[in-house]
Amino acid sequence: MAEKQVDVRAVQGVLYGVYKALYGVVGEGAAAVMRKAAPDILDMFAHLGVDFSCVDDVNKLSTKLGETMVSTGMCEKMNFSLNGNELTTNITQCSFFPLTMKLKEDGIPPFGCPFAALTIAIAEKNLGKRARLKSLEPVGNPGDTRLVVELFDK
Amino acid sequence: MPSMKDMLNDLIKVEGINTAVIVGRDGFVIDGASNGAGMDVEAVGAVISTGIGTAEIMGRELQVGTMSQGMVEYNNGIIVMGLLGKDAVLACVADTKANLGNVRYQIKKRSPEIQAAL
Repeated sequence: MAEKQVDVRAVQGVLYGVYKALYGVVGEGAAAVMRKAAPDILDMFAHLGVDFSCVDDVNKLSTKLGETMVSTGMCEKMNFSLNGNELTTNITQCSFFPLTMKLKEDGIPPFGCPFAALTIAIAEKNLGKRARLKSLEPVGNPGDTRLVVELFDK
Repeated sequence: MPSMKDMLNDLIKVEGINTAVIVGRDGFVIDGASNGAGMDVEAVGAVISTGIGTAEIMGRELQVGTMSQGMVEYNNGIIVMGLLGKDAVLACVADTKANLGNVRYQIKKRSPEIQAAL
């Protein structure tokens, strides 16, 4: 198959339809679907050659996930910081920001954030923690977002 | 005030209830107790959350108001679910021979205290 970049607008169009339908069917449970989907997203990434199995601490998580998200064009930059049991991630220029804003206009929360889902999945699978999204909100310039994930010992 | 685990352990002492689990709306299992039925409470978070989510949407679409409690009967057990505020769900698994009126009453009676402990 030829390597070809997909226009992010097309991806957002597809995701908009899927996310809206999912929220329409399971309501607030949509976040649980994303939580369930995240380990499979990781598996598919591995299948496509993006392997997170080397990530066994928060520093590696920030390096590997940050590099992956930037290199795949999902954002311009990701910065992580760990304060106690809270992992804060600042995302600069999220490529899905228009999608998030459109869903928000429709009254749909950002349950499908791939940054949050992958952070949680890697923390649970590789770091031996339990993890839960605490907050996800726009900060600074349009497109910039801060997400906070709470980590718990198993 | 007793801990959440204590409250769940008390709940599974109600005749007929064998599992009680509290799940966030995001599918995160907050706590659970089982009386040896062998249920993996960690595995059920997402299905409980989506199950009650679908039930809520069904109520909205059929214009029967806000959900307070849901019950589903299966061949080998009964699941009773109730909302703990807007962020969590309490789900209990009961025997088919359990006194359903009492199970529902006990869940409804104990939910405010459990919700306060979240």
